[in-house]
Amino acid sequence: MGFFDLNIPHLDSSLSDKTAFKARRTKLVIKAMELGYTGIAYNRTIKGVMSDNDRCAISLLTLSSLLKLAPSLSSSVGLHRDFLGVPRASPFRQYTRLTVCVESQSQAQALNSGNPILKTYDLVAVRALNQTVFDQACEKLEVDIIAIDFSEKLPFRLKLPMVKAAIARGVYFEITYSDLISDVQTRRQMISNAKLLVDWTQGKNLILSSAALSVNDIRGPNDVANLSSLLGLSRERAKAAISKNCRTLVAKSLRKKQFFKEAIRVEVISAGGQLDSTKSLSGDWLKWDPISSGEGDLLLEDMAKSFSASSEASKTVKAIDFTSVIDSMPSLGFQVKALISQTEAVPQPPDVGKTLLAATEVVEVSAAAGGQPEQLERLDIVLRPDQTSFNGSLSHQSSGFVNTGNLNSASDAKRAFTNSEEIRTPTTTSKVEEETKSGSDVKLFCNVTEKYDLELQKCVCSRESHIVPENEDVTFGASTRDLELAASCDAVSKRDLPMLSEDVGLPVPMNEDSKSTNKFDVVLGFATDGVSMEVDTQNQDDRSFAFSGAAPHEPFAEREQFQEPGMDVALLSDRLPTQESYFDQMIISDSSAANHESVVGAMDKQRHSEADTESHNPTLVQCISGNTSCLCVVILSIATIFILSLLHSDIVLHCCFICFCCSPFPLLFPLPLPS
Amino acid sequence: MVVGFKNRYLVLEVFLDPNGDLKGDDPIIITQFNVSKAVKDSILLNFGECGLASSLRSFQVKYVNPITKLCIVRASREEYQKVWSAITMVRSIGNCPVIFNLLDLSGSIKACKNAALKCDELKFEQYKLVVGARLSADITQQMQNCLDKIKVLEH
Repeated sequence: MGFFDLNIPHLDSSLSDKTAFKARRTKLVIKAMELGYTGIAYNRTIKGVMSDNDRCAISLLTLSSLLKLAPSLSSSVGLHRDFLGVPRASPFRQYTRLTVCVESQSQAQALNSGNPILKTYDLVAVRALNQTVFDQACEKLEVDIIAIDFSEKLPFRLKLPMVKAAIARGVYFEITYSDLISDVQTRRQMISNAKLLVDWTQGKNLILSSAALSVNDIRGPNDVANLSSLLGLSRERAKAAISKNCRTLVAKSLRKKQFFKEAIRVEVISAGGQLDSTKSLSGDWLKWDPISSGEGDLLLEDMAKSFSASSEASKTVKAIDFTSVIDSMPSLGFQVKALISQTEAVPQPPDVGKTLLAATEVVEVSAAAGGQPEQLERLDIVLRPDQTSFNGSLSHQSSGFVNTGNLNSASDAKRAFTNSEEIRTPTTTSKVEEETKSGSDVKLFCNVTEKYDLELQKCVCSRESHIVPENEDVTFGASTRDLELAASCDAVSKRDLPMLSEDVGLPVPMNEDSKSTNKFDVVLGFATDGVSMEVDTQNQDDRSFAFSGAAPHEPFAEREQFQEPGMDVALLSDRLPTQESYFDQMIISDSSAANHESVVGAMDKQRHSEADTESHNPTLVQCISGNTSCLCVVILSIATIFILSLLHSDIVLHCCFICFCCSPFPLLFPLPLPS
Repeated sequence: MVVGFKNRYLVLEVFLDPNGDLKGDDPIIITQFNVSKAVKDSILLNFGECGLASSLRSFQVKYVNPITKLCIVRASREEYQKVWSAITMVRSIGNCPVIFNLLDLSGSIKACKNAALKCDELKFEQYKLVVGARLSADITQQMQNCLDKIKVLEH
């Protein structure tokens, strides 16, 4: 949960002392950042009638201007954020605010939501100078904040019904703490005036802000919360007043600004961009940051690298760009490069592993940033009807994934890649589907999926397979595209996805004892379960289908091919201890995921080149066929497939089921060793 | 042994001359004495004689690091909020404007020591970044002494 200071005075200055003014403001902002605030609002005060000159002309500070004054800013800010428990990656927001001093009713009339000048500011506050205006402000005026100057004798009386009416409408009261710090006399007045308000509101709809004229008057968020205890505010309410209340206030007012009737989001689309109709709207949702201040957002990592945060991605409201965040994440997991060069295989799984781990870090960081409940709900609503349950689970993950910026950057990268490779990318959602299958866990992050997609594209390129884009989508769980899949199946002889199975099939290995055979069998059972249909892969026949012996080509004619036992064995060898969980996973998660989960799992543990596959298969066959317990295994697997097909009532699944039934039979017969 | 009186230990950092009004790298060297004096004056000013008297019993500035500007203040559990507010309202030490910022609040000296060690080390890294090449062995030695001092702090 971030801390906000929504009153940093922005004084109208004449041209002469503009530099001094700018320097003062920059120093204030730097100090606020250092003290751990995650958002500030520049407050401009005007009195009397508004004119067109009063349109927002506040310039937001850029990274470069901040860094000029304090080069070691990023480390200091990071340090303090750690002390406060604020995630380092959360951006620093800059908002603009207007405070209108109103004296008469007629002036108050101007303060409605239709006023175009007000629309140029993020937040609108009113300062009443007499009783009637105050009453009007509490009951009728459409403002965000009611600011009261407590340092002098109040020109009006606070009345409880008025205060209650304002709270019911969702208007916030503001208390500025710089009066407490600056002068002794003002301190006295201020406490006696403000205490009444605090008693009546009990901290509800109350925000604390600094109104600091110089950097000496600003204080850290915890200190401010403690100061407000002098006014009678309890600890929790005080902390909320400087964090949660501010956040809801900002979210609300931004929503009012950007949404039409609070439901339809109005965005600016750049002239050059075309509306990609194939691109699902859910992608946009996932990029939405409800309290983004547009260009005002400053990122810590960008400061560290001292280049300004780029946000070229969205053609609409500029969201957070987390490319730098992802880049700066340590690359945990394994080295994909070697694998790629050797095998020319799909690097997704290891890459996924890497990015998955990186993503988990980001998510952990972002999860701490405080949820965005409103966003979550909307994501659920938007995504569920669009996608299958599997994707639904993905959306859950992504909605839980607070930093939507990740998607943004990933999609940026994707777009960039797409442009360079000239591959037509499937729709966002389908991409997501694809990725998810490769993402091992149920926990899939869109970030991961995007990266996967990148790699996938790369493979597509390298393999030079005529992959029809829509086929790729199909693969997992999209029941509506069965037909396409069937068609493509016949047409395409080489798919890159199968490469997955190839690689997986590798490890086959080393297990030649009869002892391990048992395990293999068991695993085989599990594996075959997981084999689930979905893989839209045409396996390079020899390998995997060596087992099944039966015309691998027949199954090809059917929709799904399932990964070979070869793959399974690989799985096995590496996942022995985790069989049960693996099995559970397969049952629970969508069948589409299961296969690749196993694949990924296997990939995670292997580094073998694909060349060994062929030689390994015969040994495997030998092991398997020798054991009669494989029958039990087969039965188990059939049962699993059956259950899965029931769950999905998918034609795809049914076909797989049939294929699968065909395939194990050869296992029952000992096959002659091809040696 | 049951401790009869309960305390709160505040780990604070001091920003000296945030506006850059005074010249010089270190406009003032903070010591236990001048920090204590400034805080006591603030309590007297804001809470009066009785306020000062009731917080005076447990109030003590236990540790000050002039390099990283870290200090540890002890206050009684009943009065610590008043003392903390008074510290926040301190505007200057001597003629140097200051800002106090709380980093950690703990109820036992042990937790306080751990937090202070961590904060001090991190702040020293930060200091080294800012100072760059001018870092002298003398400062490093001084820093080490301060860290050792934290380790032997008693309630």
